[in-house]
Amino acid sequence: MSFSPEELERYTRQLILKDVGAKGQRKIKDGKVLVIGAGGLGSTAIMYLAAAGVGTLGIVDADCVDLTNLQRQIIHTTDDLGVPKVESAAATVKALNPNVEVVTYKEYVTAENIKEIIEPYDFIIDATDNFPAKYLINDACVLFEKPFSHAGILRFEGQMTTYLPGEGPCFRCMFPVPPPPELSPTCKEAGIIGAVPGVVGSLQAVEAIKFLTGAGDLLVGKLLIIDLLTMEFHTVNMPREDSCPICGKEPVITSLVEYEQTVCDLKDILENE
Amino acid sequence: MTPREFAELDFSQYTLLDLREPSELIADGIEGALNMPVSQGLGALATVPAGKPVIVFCRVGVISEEVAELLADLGHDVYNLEGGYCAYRAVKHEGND
Repeated sequence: MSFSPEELERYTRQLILKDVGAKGQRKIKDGKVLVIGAGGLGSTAIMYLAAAGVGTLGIVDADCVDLTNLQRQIIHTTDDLGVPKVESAAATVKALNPNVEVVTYKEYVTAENIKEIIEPYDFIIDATDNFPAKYLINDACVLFEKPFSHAGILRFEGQMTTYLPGEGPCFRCMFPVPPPPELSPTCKEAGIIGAVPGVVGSLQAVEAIKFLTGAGDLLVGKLLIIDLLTMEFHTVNMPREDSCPICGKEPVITSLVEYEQTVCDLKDILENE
Repeated sequence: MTPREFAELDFSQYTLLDLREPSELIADGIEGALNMPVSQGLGALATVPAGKPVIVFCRVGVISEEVAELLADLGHDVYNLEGGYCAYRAVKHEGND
């Protein structure tokens, strides 16, 4: 594959970077990345993937742009109020890099639709804001063998890990059941400053690019924990768990079900073991 | 292509592509080489003429390696000067001691 003069000019700064280069750029251009959530995390993840020239970018979000979003969801603008987030995000991507093919899904991921949605993609980014979605995405990626980046933020803290099928732990190895609601408020309830999900979403974009190009080391088997008030970043080694309900030796989760409910059932199952 | 091999060539049979800054060429360059400073973007690679094999070089041969691949994709018969212009300069001066 050769690049057009426009692409050569556009990607000059990464084409001369050893860990990307001509080979890496081809892989990025052939790459298909899905970002589930076009909000706080999704904004910077989507924008940096578009800038880097990912060939196909899928964007999933059922919501419309709201004024309270704009303090952090910088892929949208004041002119986009009321517009579906996937449309606004797609427009930003197109303006930034017309070479990217955008596929939009104006819906929430559910047990019914997620398999078909993730199927064509090489790498999935969980940029969602709620635990049922995070468990659904984990379970779908484990069951259907898709690499993915998990991330979550709360106030000034963030966490992130990368799952490669069959290799490292999945999200459930680390967190078999969700935290109780009082410990997991959404940004709506807890508050957030925009640059925090911006940082974490950007890190997710870097992981996706590293996955596509093969550069560096992914956060497989590692949980990155960051505290942006203290500026402490540390990585904890997390093993794959034999007892994991989905990717362990005796999985109890063998198919997707409705997540709010399953999560409660699972708690019962684990407590009764 | 090693600097020694390069030093022995008849440059008129090749298109030489120098990726360094214009000021560096003025200080020390090869007459007849095309100058396409990397800092100005790689879009101009599409204008490298066909017909003769291309030898591409930069200061130390790292960036030129990537550029050589891009030129190969564009259909050129291309060589990267290992070690870049610095290595060639060292070989050139060996004969002048």
